[in-house]
Amino acid sequence: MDNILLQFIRHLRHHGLPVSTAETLDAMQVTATLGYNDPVLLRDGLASCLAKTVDDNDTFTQCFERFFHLERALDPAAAPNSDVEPSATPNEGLADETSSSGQGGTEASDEGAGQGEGDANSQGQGEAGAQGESSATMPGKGGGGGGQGSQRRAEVVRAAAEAKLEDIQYRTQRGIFRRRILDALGDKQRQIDIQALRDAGNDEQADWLEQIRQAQIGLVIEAINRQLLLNNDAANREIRDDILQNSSLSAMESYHRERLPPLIRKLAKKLAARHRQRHRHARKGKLDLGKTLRRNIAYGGIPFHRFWKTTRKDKSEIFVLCDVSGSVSAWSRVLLLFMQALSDVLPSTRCFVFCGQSIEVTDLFRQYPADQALAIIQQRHGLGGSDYGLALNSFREQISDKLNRRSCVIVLGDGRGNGGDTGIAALRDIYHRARLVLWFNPESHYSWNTGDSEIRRYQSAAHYVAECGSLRKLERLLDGLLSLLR
Amino acid sequence: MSDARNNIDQLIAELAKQGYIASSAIATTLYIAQQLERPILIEGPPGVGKTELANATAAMLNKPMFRLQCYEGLDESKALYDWKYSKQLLYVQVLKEQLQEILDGAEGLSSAVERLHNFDDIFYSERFLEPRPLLKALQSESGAVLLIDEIDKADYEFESLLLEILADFKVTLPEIGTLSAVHKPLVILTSNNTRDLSDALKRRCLHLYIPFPEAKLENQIVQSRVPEVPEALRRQLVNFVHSVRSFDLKKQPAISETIDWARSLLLLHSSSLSKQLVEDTLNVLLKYEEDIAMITPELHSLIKKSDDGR
Repeated sequence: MDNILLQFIRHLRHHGLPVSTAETLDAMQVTATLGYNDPVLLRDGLASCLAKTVDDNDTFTQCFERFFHLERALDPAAAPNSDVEPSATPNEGLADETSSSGQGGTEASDEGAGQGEGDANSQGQGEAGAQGESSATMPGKGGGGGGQGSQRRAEVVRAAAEAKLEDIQYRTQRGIFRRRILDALGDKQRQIDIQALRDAGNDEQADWLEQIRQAQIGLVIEAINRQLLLNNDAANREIRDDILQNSSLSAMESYHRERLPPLIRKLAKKLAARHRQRHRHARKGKLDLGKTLRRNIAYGGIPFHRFWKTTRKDKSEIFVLCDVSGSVSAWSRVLLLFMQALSDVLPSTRCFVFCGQSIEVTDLFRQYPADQALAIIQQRHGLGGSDYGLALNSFREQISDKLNRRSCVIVLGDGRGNGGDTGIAALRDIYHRARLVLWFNPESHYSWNTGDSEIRRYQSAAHYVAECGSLRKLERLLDGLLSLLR
Repeated sequence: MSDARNNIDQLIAELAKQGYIASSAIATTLYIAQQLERPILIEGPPGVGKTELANATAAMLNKPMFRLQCYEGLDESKALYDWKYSKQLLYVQVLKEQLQEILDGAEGLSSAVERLHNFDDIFYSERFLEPRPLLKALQSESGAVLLIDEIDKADYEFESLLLEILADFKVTLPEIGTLSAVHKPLVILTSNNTRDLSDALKRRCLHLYIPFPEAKLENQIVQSRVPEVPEALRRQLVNFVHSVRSFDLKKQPAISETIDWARSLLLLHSSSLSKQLVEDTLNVLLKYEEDIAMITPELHSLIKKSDDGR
């Protein structure tokens, strides 16, 4: 029973739910108190100890449906109506007869065929009476319904466990797992038996055995496909995420780019969690000895009321200026998404975009969800080549009265101004007044200063010019920025 | 295992007696929390009855409830314990003369200090301890319900302070040592999800998300809270609130607002919703000017829809 729970938890982990060992133990206690009979009860109970956020809750519900629905499909109690096995048609008389003759004929062919069948029939009958059409849809528990089917499925499940089917990861591994499971089921012996029967001219029994064998193979394939469905997606996703983080955005297909926002949110969440604790740095300062003594004169100098020196924290502001012209708009989207997702831990942030004139878009992000805001920005401002002269000058005009020694300015662009005005004077002015000017350049280091790139000149007017070609690099840069700003 | 189901159904019935209509998910989590002796962390939009659940549970179990309202800057001297400074001060003054007597005849400083060492650290003993809600709940003889309200408003450090209590029902006071719970209290934490709570805290709690209820459940809730409202009106107003929730509002009307609205309609002696009536009382339901402006033009169709929904 617990085995199924463990598999389910594995399934949850594959889907990104961080289930700890302690929570697994909780879940076991929950199932011990609630039992497996009532699916709704089980779902609510497990949800309370396995899904700890609202988002997780949704994922959990989906996983629960998928996992236990599939389990149910394999489960005998739900099977009777879908029982399309050929051997289900021969009625009891025939089954009994064949099973007895099976025992005689195939002698020690072990539980594979005859013996197993006989067992299954009697057992199935007994349990069907006991359990009736109880809605015991949870796997493993149900033994009612089609006796033969259940026995056979149980065998397959057992063999699958033996072959460690739960480790299957890729589609290409199907063949090898099928082989392993069939081996565990004694398929070879059965093939020999069938051949022996045919040689002895007993074709009818041979056909019957062959039918059983085919049905079993069908079940095995079904089990493998199901497990693949449960595992495969997760393993693939992990690999995909890893590749997406490391590869350059310019080399990425638009198909993959659409998958970026959730990944960015995930990364940003991680960053935010790492920096939140430090950010909420002790507000209480040291003991203000003088004030404490003065105020406690009335109590004979006993420090009845204590006073603390408060450390005032200066609010810094971040200004982000993003190039949204064709060549670098993809990175701008990523940076803006990051900034939005980090808004919890970052000090107040103002975002600007430019092709020509710099335009503040902070309000757009407040009004609309990030994706929608980005679409609007692209539509309104995202046409034309970049004009750095106009952009930097208008940027300076808009922020110069807010700039001070605590401000931090981030510019994202490739520094290719198509040979026009560079606006370097404006940037230098900002550089002198701000605490930090960072230039994020999506181009790789090697292509800086080639063609119309003016990045070398901008380097002289920025504290640091960094390469941010891939998500991972950008994440690292922002990580550094957050530690600096705390 | 059907007794689990029975127990949960019974729990729902007993909560209903306290005027709290619980969904199956709520009752299941509460049941598990009692069985496993785990704290419950309740999340959900404001006004869906998170705090009310704690009240109802305390009333149902007939145990005292200790409530700790969290806010920024809450620290252990307000949440856990404090020393009774004035009492300590008073005792120092009063005992000064006693001290003289004890030290009388001591030769030299070292023997005087030696004599003082024979006394325990009386000023930092449990007698001078001022218990705050957390400690009160642990010390309660009959068991208690401890409600830690809006934990997301408290600081990060405060969460860490809670961990020991939530996991082991113990607190360690530096001057005294570890105090264990006399009777393990049922702990309920609520959060409005204004920030993410730490994983360590979440791991120790069962998680319960209370969404806005379905129409049927909300109908029952209004019935139990404001039984005087005629059935036709009740259905109509619940349907109306449900369709209002489908709009993009700054603040969605919660259950508490539905109940308030039902009460005010009752005061106005109205038997069914009319456009004029809704327009006049909409400010009970919606708390922002923009929201009211958004809903007002839709009133006609909304009222019609809530009629059809019967």
